[in-house]
Amino acid sequence: MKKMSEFLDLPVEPAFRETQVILTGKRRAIVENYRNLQRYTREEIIILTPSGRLVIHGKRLEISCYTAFEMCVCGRIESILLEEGKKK
Amino acid sequence: MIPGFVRLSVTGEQRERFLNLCKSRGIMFRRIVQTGEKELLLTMRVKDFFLIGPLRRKTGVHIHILKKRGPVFFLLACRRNKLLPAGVLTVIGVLFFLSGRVWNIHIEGNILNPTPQLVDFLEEKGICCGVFKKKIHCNALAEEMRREFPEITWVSAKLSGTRLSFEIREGDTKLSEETSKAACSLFSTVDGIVESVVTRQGTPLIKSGEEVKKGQELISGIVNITDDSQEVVRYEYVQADADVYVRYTIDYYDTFPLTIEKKVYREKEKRRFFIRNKNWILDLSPAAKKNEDRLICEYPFVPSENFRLPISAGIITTRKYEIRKEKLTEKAAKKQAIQRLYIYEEKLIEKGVQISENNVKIEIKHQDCVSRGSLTVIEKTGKEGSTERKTQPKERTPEDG
Repeated sequence: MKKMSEFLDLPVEPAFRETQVILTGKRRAIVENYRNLQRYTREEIIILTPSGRLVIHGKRLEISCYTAFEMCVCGRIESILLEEGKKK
Repeated sequence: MIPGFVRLSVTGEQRERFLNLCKSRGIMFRRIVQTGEKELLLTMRVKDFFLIGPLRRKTGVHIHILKKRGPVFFLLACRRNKLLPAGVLTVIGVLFFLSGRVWNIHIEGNILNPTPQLVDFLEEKGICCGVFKKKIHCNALAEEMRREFPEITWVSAKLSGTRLSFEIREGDTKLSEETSKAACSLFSTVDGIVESVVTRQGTPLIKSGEEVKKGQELISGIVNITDDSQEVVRYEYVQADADVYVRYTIDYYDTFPLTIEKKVYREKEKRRFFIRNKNWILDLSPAAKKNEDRLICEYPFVPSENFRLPISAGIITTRKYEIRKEKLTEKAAKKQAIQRLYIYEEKLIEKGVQISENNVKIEIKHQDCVSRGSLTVIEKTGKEGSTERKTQPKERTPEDG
């Protein structure tokens, strides 16, 4: 299935529920295809994704939108780290 | 469902779990901000707020409503207070009523026909402020205006919003042409010496430095047309036009007593409001008393241009005073005399008179301050008067030689 998608040059993110992070400068990050919010503080947001833990570090972090499909993080983003998760 | 949003404060240990459970049930959040160590602020829809009860119990968080926004809360407030929707409906009704009428009549481009005259004409036709817009026919109105005022060559009437605007163009009148062509001469209005003469049209009869008398002809409206041998062939009648400046002296005499009466105010000024509707006045201030200054400022209610309501409001400022007699010192009296002279000079300057010399002496005599002397001034003179008609010279024929 994955090979067929690659052969047909189709995006694989929706089909395999792969996490997608869209970053706009240092002030906004939109996270799609995530599972849960594990921890939220003004300096750190930890999000559980199918690919592992996504850790966003920064200052004055806010979640401007939180829905089943996407999460929008605003503030001063300093780093984004995708940690390896358990394989199913 | 009528839209509405609530801003909540969520406190407790399992705040993130509460958010995740809400998310899995399709509840949407906006502006999640951490304010304290165990506190989150978030915004959610009213519709979703009724679904979070079991989740709150499950996670053990405490929820407080901080703000309520949206039409749903306004309608709830309306159910409790009946005057609120009544007020809103009244405002909408009044706006609807007012927007269907004309509240501003604007006229531009008119010089020969003054605006009040045109406004009176429109009132005669039933067009005034407050008239229903459907009653106005712009084309017919413009045509009637052109017919009534022959000086108007072109009119454009336009109705935009609650404003009725007229753009007018006027032609030249025959009257002005006639007056411009009438021949006349310029005559002196004062006795004096001619300072300068600049003639634009006509024949100058005086030179600078000459003495002129009041009523003397300065510039003649007759222009002699001569032939090659400098003989007068005929007389041309023109409207004399020239700048003639005459120097003359004015005697100045002014006196005032050294003992003056001065107002000494005793109390602070008091202000009272009043409302006037034509002859009816609602005025709560006491009647005017002796030794009291009353300053009345009246402000007419003018909602728009050319729309003046008969109602006006104003302020009456009253201040009590005592009259005390004071004697001026010599220095103060001279200062006052100079001020009075300046005021006199300014009045002359306003009339277009130039002051050339000032020979006024100020002296104190007994109980009076006397200013006496003369002022030399230069004034533009030249009053238009009829030109005496001359018989045209006979045409010369070859037989005359």
